[in-house]
Order: sequence, then structure tokens, then C-alpha cells
Amino acid sequence: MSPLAGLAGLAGGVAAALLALEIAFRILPVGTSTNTGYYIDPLLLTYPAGQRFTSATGWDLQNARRNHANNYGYVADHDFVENPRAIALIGDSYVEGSMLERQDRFAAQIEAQLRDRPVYSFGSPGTALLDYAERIRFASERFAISDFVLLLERGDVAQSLCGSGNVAARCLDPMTLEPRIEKQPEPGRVKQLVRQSALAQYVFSQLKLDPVRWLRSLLQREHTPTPTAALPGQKRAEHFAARVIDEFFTRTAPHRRGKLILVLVGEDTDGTQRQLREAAERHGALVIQGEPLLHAASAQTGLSTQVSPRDAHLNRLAFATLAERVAALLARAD
Amino acid sequence: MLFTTAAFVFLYLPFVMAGFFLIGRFSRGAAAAWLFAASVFFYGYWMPQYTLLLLGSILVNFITGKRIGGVPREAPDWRTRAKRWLIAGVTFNLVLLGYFKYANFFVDSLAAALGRELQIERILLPIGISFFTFTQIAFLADAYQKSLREYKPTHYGLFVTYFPHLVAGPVLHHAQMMPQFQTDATYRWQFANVAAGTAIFCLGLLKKVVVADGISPYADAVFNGAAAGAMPSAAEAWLGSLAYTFQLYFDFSGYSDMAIGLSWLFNVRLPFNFNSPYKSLNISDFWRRWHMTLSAFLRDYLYIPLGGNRHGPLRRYANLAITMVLGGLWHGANWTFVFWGALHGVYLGINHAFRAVTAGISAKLDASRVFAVVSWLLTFLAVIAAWVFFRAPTFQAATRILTRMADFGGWHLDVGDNRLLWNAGLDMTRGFWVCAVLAAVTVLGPNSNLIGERLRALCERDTLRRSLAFGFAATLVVFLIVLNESRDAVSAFIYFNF
Repeated sequence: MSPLAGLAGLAGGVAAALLALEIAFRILPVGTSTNTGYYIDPLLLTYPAGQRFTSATGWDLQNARRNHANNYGYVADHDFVENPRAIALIGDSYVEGSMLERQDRFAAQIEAQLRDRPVYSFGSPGTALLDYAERIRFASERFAISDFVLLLERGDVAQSLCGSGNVAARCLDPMTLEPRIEKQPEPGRVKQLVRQSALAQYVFSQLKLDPVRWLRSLLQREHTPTPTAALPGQKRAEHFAARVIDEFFTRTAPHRRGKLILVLVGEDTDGTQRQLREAAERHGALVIQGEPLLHAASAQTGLSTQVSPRDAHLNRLAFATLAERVAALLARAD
Repeated sequence: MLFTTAAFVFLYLPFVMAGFFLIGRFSRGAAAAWLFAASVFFYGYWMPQYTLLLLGSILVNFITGKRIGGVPREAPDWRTRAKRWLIAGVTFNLVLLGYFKYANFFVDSLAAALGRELQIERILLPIGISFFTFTQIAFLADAYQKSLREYKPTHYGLFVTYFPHLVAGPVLHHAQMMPQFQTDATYRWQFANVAAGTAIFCLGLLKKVVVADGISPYADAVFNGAAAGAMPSAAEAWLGSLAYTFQLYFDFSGYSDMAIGLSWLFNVRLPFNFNSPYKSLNISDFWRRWHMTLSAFLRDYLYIPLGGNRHGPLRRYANLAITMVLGGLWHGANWTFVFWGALHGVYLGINHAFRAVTAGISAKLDASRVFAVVSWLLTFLAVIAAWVFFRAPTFQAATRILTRMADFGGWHLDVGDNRLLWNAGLDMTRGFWVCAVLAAVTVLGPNSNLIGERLRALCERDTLRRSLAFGFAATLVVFLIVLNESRDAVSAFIYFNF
């Protein structure tokens, strides 16, 4: 047998293995491409209207769900139509809740508590506080919504600085602290091509493989955590946060005709929640301090309020607890 | 260095193979020395502080073996003289093992029994000490019984440290390995063996990285919860026990497949260690199929020297019990392991007694399908119940789990009743489905030894087939290594603790 046959066999074997993996991952519930873009507004990142996609967590595809975007590209139980009685629930992946069953998500649980008012879920993963301000504007202008509930987790303020990797459009320049627009780039041809492969989606989206980092770690004896960018000093961080919060309230002021409820979750390790509470008080917004409520729920039931030890998103119990308080505040406002 | 890491697969292994076959073109002895040195490096990379201990143990055993083999058989007192060396060698090995593996256990147990506080420094367990100690005890016993002689220190060093088996077996016999180290063909590049070895390695990697690590969170959630004082629900207790039953099997048989596959790359065949143990129809059958090299060691060097079945049924049961208790203790320095071994001793006693009582109708029973299904189920349940003691760190934890497994009226699927799984973010239905699939695979699926043999036969046929097999397997290996490395932590093999 010639060396050529050997090489052909080798190439055939590699191709057959890749094909087998591709078929396996097409059968398994691997997260599929979401095709996010600026479809409904130049400053809002959403899925295409009616987009169907699969989401799952981690290498073993935990909490796999098939999701369906509504007429405005949000994963929500309703199509959005103009309705002044509707409530806009705004946030990031916590609000979208694609790792939860539909009835367990935050919007569904608030709606179940309220009974007579629809809750529009404007959750968009990987976004931050100034992006939420744009969604308040959009919901107010397009759907005549006047009541807003924001779920804010640790990092939503700091991530509003441009370059944080969690910005859809509006952010503050970290040097000048002036607002600017930083949109996510259009996917290149290679990325568009790779999106078509279930194997590539698994490797880059589920495993989150970073080839450069991986090759570097190969040469290291111990696994070391990836160094994170140096945090600014406490005082500077407070200054950033104050500026972001100020920008948020300034931008949303024209659209806040009803109630604005801020639900704060996560420990206040850097004082941002305190700053948010103080600002909310000044601007007439209501605040729900989520952490004590979640601790109490956990202590009472013996159940965790996180999806899992490796997924810090909130679970059904957490949202049931918070939804009760949100509904009470909304009812009082009415 | 774990077999499942990129550093091992992409750096260490190609480098060692290249050196071995390159040197092997010029000198067999130098190639063996290279592999010996590479194996010592493999061990030292992990536990540099114990490399000298390993080398010291090899040196003492090599000299002792040489002394035993060196006593002339024709000498009138050869047996006495050889036995003296044998006792000295075995004592040395047991003292070493006793100190590093059991000293803390004995002191803690003594303190508990006396109700007093006795403390010694915590001793770090040298990885693989149980394996390299047993391998060398077997060597000394063979040197005494079969007058084995091994005068090449590099071959002996390689036999003990050979990296595919060093840290978790299989337990090897001198006679299985030495002829292979002395064959010229071993030192020549043989692509058929490389292709088949890569494929078997890939199969083991899949078992470990995907199956064992995939099911382990269910076992960990239940056993760690029970160890922390929580009472699992009946469903959780069953799911945790089943999950561990499959985790352990796929973890250890995955390791064994990897060791066998790696060894094929170097043209050296290691003995099989598993033969579909969960297909067993009785507990004796189980022990002929589970960790086969350890079972053979315990039979040949403990059970038979104790008298085996040669002194009547009572002695036989006592010998079985002693063998299994010591086998349990070999697995770990904890009373739960001792109890696990004792439990299997009782199982074996019952099985032998049943066979004796039903000797007259055994042919009829063996032909019955109903009997086969009942036997399989009973054996499987007995093994699962025993694994609870093997996995649980304390008797209290094991009792909590077994109590709930026996609570047939306590099956509730409400979240509030299944707190351990909820808090670990695990879905019970998915867990039971995974266990059902794994049960089907282990009971109905083909044996990986058979797959390996067929692959090897296929690879020997022509270049195209072996290239195809190699390309396919190597691609999957790369993928599985990437998968393993992308996780938060690379998990070690369970048997590395023993």
C-alpha cells in the first residue's frame, strides 16, 4: 500500500470523526446561533423576531431549553403590543431566564402574582444599566408603558463602561466618563460560517474555548485562573458608578410616568447598591433589596436560590420570592 | 500528570514515544532505560517528594528478589534461606505500605478505641503505593515459588514504574512483562499497534471524561450531602447510589482502557482488568470480572496461601472472609472499606453455600432464564448496596443513604423533598434517564476488550484501515482533551486514591 493511501486513510479518518461529532451535536441540545442584531432600534440588541434557538449550560448541556423570540425579538411569553397597563421587566440574562422553564421565569411569576396585568420581559444577555435605559425609552415610546421593573445584579453598573464586554450600545467612556455608543460588531464571514456548525457551536459557545489561552495553559504546570483586568481603586470606582447612575436617571427621566422599581440582587461588595439606593430615593424610584429576602427564603426552605453551584443565575424559588414583593409594590402604587 | 490532560497527550506522550522508537533503532537496553526514566519523570512530575521512595522501594525489592533467586535450588537449605529473604522483602513492603497508607488510620482508630487523644503528623499518601507495593510483593513471591531471576535493573525498574500502569494498575506479574521487554519487536515502530492503541485510549477517555465525569455530580450531591448530615429522599438515595455505581465503573474501566491503549503504543500488552462486571449472574462471577488483576493477586497470593478451599467448607469461608476484608482494607484506610470488603466476603460465603445446597439441581437452575434474571438483579442490587459503603466517608452517611433506599413508601418527586439535587442544580428525571442508558450499555453493550481485539485485528489488515482508525481516534482524542481542559477543574481518577 502506498504512502498516499495511508495519507488518504488518515484524512478520511479525521473527516469521519468530525462528521460523527457534527451529527452527534446536531442531535444533542447544543446552544444554537442566536443571530443577535439591531433589528428593532439602532440602540437595542435583540434576536430576530420569531427566532427559535436552543440554549444550554456547560459542557454537559444542563438546563437545555428551546427558546422562541417574540415579535420584537425578546424571549417573552407575549408578543408586545401597545398596552399602557403592561409592565416592562428589564434586565440581562437573569430576566431572560433561558435556563429556566417558562413558568419559572421572573416575568411569568410576577404576572402570576398580579393576575390582571401583562408583564413584558425585556431581557437581553450581556447588557448593562445604560442599555436598560434605552429599553425604558423604547418601551415607553412604542408601547406606552409607564411602569418599569429593573432587575439589577452585581456588575450592572460597572459593566456600563465601554469595553466591559457587556454593552449593547450605550456606555460611558472609561477615560472621559462621557457617554458614547459602542455597538457589537457584525459577525465576520468566518464566524457566520462557523455558526452553521453544531460542533463549532459546542466548542466555542458551550466550552467557551479560547485557543490562545488554552495553548498558553498547556505549557503551564498548574491551572491558573485567567487574570482579570486590574480593578480601579475604590474611590475611582465609586466615581464611575455615580456617573453611570446619574446618566441612567437623566436618560430615563422623560419616560418615567409611572413607577420605577429597582430589584437589587447580589452582595453589595463595592458599595454600588448603596449608591443606587440613594440615587433611587432622590429620583422617586422604589428599591427592593433582594439579598435579605433570598437569604430568608433559603433559610426557611433549605433550598438554594441559585440555578446551580456553577450557574449563579436565580432560580424558580428566588423569582417567586422576589415576584411576591414586586407585585406588592406595584399593587401599592396602583 | 493525568492521562486526560493536554500536557500528557500533546507533550509528554509524543516526546516519550519519539525517544523510545528512535533510541530503540540503535539499542534495546537504552530504549528500555529511556522508558524507565520517562516513567520516573511521569511519577516525579506529580509527586516529586516521593520519587526517592519509589526508587528506594524498587532498589530494595530488586536486590531482595536477586537474593531469593540467587539461592541455589540444589542447596539443602535453599528453601529456608530463600524464605528468609522472602519474609524480609514482604515485611519491608508491608511496613512501607503500613506507614504511608495506614499509620494515621491505625492511630486514629486506637485513639477512638481508647477514648484518648493520640496524634501523629498527617502523612500524605504517595500515589500508586498500593499498586507498586503489590506488584513487587508478587515479584518476590514468584521469585521464591517459581525461581524467577531478573538481573537487568532497567528492565525491573521499567516493570514496576512503566507509566501506563504505575499509579492505578493493572497489577502486573513479572512473567507477563519481562518477555515483552526482551523482544526486539517491542522496540520497533508498529503502526497497527499505534492505531489500535490510540483507538482503545480514545474509548477509555470517552468513558472517563464524558460518562464518569458526567454522572459524578449526582453521586457527589447525594453522598456529600449525606456526609454533611442531610437526609436524602428515597429517590435521591437511589439516584446517588446508581450514579456512583456507574461512575466508579466507567472511571476505573476507562482508566484501564487508557492504560492498555497507551501500552499498545509501545508494543506492550497489559492484562485486561474488566470484563463487563455488571453482567455478572452471581457474586463470584462479579469478582472474576471486576478489577481482575487485583482479584487474581488476592487469590494467588492470599486466598490460596491461606489454604483456599483445601481444608473444608468452614476454613474456606473463613479464608474468603479474610481475603475480602484485606482486599477492602487495601482500597483505603477507613473502616467503611473494611466493611465493604467484609460484606463482599459474606456475599461470597452465601453464594458458595447456596451452590453447595443446590448442587443437585444446579444444571436445571443454570438453564433457567428466570433464574438468570433474578440472579443478575440480586447480584446487581448487592453490589450497589456495597458500593454505598465504598463511597460514603462514614458509616452514618452510608446508613442514611441505605435507610432511605429501603424506604419504598418515601418516593416523592416534589422539590422540597429532594433538596440535595435542587441545591446542586440537578434534574432528577435526567439523572434517572442517564442511569437507565448506562445500565443498558453496561449490561447489553459490547465488551471493550472485545472491541479492542477487533480493532487490532482490523488495523493489522492494511495501511488504509489503520490510517483510517488512527485518524478517527486521534481526532476524537484531541476533541475529548479539549473538552476536559475547558472545564473548571480536571478530575482525577477515583482509583488514584487507593
